[in-house]
Amino acid sequence: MRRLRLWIVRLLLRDELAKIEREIDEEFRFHLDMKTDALVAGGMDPDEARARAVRSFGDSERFREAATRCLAEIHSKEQRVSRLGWLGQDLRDGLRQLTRRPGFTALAVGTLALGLSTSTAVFAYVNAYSRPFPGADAQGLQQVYLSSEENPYGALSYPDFEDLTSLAGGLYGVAGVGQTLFAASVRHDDLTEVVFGQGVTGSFFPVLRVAMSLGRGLSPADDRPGSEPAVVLSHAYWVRRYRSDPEVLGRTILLNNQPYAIVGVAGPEFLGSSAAFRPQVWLPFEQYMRVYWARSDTRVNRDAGAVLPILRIEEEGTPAQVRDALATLAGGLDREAPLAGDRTRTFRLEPATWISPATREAEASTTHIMLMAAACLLLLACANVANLVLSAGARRQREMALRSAIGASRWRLVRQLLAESLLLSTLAGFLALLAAGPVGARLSSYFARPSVWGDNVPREIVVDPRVMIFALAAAVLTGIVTGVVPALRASGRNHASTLSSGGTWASSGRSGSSARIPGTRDLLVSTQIALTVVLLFVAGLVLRTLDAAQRVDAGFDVEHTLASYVSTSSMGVPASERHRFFEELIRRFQGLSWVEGATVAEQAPLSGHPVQELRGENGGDPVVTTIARVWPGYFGVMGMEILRGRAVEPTDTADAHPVVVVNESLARRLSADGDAVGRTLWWPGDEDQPDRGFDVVGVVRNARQTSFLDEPEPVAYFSLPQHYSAPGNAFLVKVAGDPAAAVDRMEQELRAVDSRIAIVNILPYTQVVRGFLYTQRMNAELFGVIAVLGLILATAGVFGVVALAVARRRREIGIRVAVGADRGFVTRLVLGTVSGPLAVGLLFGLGGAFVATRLVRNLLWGVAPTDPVALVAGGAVLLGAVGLAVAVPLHRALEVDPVASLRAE
Amino acid sequence: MPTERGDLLRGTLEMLILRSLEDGPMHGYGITERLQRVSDVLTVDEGSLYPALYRMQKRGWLKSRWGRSENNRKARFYSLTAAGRKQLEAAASSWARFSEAVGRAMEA
Repeated sequence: MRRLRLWIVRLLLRDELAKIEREIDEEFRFHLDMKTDALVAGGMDPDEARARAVRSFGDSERFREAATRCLAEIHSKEQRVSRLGWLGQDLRDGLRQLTRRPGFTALAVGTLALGLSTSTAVFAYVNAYSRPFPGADAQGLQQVYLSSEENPYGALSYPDFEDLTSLAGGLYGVAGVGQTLFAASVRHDDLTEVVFGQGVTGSFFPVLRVAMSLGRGLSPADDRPGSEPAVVLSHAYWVRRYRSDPEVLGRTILLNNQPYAIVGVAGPEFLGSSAAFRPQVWLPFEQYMRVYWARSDTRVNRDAGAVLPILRIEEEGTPAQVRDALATLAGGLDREAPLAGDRTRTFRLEPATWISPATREAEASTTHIMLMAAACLLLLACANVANLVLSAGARRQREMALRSAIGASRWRLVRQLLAESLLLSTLAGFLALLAAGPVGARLSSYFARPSVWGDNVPREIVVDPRVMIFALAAAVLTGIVTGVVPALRASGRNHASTLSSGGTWASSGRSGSSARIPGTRDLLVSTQIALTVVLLFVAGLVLRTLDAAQRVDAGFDVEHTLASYVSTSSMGVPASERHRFFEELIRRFQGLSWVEGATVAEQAPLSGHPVQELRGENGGDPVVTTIARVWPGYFGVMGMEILRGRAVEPTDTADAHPVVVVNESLARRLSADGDAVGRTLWWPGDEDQPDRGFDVVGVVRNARQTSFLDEPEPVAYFSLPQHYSAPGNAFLVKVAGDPAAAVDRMEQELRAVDSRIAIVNILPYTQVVRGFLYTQRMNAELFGVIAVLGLILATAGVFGVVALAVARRRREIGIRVAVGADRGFVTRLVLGTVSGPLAVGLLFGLGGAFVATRLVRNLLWGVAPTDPVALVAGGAVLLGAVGLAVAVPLHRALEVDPVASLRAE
Repeated sequence: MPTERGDLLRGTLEMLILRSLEDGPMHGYGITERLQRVSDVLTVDEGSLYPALYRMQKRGWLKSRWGRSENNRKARFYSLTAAGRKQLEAAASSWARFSEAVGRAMEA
């Protein structure tokens, strides 16, 4: 065994062994010489002394054999050690190389960091979809939805939820959350404000195991009929309104003039069970149902979605068991309490996530394209850095050749170059992690979009361990992708010829003949151009979408109108006096110099409205209609044109005949020619009440009523004085100057009416519209930035290739100019270096763009995926940039002085 | 199969080499001279020193490097490593223990 190993070692270390043996011989010779000299000094004859020395040395052949074996073993041991430590050694070497070239290192790391930080931020964005609730023990929480084809993630009816709770049988704990948020006015000593709250069952805080800052969560005892009204505050609200006062427990808060005892403050991390909104107060479900449910029968109505259940599966249970139990429950309920219209129930169990699965699925197509675009940019960055490494490699050929000559294996060289690119990419990965936070915050800020009901919640896009792992894995992969091609190329060179030729490495297409063999660089340029074409095309489409969306005519005066929603709920105005209050409010504002008009509606345009099925008089199909109740004069203030008949007039009071004005969409549903004036619109009654008929007195031009981007739906405008008025209404003011400048003035004026007035929000309609376009704006920015970065990288890549070619062929250009070549020839020569890869890249880019048209459809609005403007504009931008990248080196080539270039050789 | 005597000789030789290098680096011939002054282990074959030197290098007790001898010739110099120094101390103390045991036995 030992002999065999020695033999192998000898075989592997032939050169080293020869050296070892030479050294041993030299050492032995030295010994013998010294001994001989000593004996001669003692008076001995030199020849005899020599013979004596050799004799007393002994069997030198045996000693040499033993010594060689010993040294060979030492050597092979060192080799083993170095093999174990190769990574460290390669990394140390790599680090030395990189610090020696700080410019190259900074450029490469920066380029990779661009690609990696975009990818990491987009991954963090995607990762947010699967994050559980913060601030609660979210492990093992599941959510149940009533799933149907039109809505896979619907809420359960309250009676169904009660059955789900009572049939849990120890398999799971159930918490219920009100499907909708409610707004309530809160009267403090010095001001009145509006808070948003959520109704939760008594089991909510125990089942979610919410960490509390103060006091306790709501309990099942709080959620019984007749219990003392109790409320839990959010941490943010407690800090903002109560300045973190610990004495707040037991105090009373007036919600819509009703007293609630504050029993606890939630922990700072807990922001509610849905990422869509952050409740400031939580009420027991019993109170919530009694006070805030518009329909009195919701408690018993099995067809009205009301509650979102959250389950905690007990330790013995599994999701599969719960799924079975849910299926059994659904079957039983379908038999004993069937839904209207023969619909059957499907209860769907999903892991509880903060962002609802419905949102995740709605945004999935956008997310996929974001990921793909980020991957494209990362690939572009990789190609650029690979190109950089190749260029740097050309300069390092002597180093490589030397290393190879002193016995470094090809694998050793590959390893070293790989180690260098891994170092580059890991460094870039850390930078990317640093950048991902701010970039994620930028993306999340788009979700904090303004609306009539206040600013929405920014999305929580955070760098968590999963994002970190992604960034690191992406960095390693990037390092390998970036390093492997140049490494294999560099190590595969014929180093002997490199050393003997004085060190100019052949570049692709360097040869004097015009025939070009496509090389790695050309491939990289083609790839970059292709990717950039696709990125520019997608960015063009998304920008065109934003442009198209911004051009939408809302159908009312967006530029000069302020939206607000004000409530009398803390003022104790009786229902019978509300009309008078709002009429007085309008009169007061219309008397102000800066106000051009003021009006009231039940809901502000571009916010949620109730929907009702109404019928025309001929007994045709019911029309799903958006219900607006507006004050007389509304259409004038809002700048909405009456097309036929008349508007809602001050004479349309409670005593007068009930009237309605319909929009064009509804008019067309009511009569074929769109002239619905004189017809009757029927509001369905119930057991107690017959159907109510409304005279259609006018047709108004279509306007966007609930959503800015959807085509106008049928809308019926009733006269608000002829209907019940809620404590609060939308208050719309048209101003003479800039609406944004009038916000504060409007708030002061409203508070001057009564300090207890509750104001939900005041904002210009331009802001509301902006809020509706948040996805379009986010996409435009994200894809725009990615495309611009991609363009810069591709341009830099083309520039690098052309500049290198010009530098290499300086001498050739000089000679050709000297023998009479004109500028046209030189131009063709330079362009020839990139025209091939450019053409191939463009061709593949167009193919990619064609594929992309299928994918991006969901991102677009008002623009066809095959939009020629986007394609042509993208192509023009790319050609312009490439032209610039070629022009600079070309100029340099044309400036070549034949004499100087030849002398330089 | 090395004989008992061989083992003993080898152990003594190694300890003597270590001790002779205690004062500083020496080349092989220098070590030979020094050993011949204090012991008779090398009277048979001077060359047998070299396998011992390489063996000890393999164990990490010694290190070597090429340098210039006193008559300005290229020569390999050996010196103690930290491990070699430790080995020397251990050998010396076990020698001392052995001597002590012998001393006690004689007193008894």
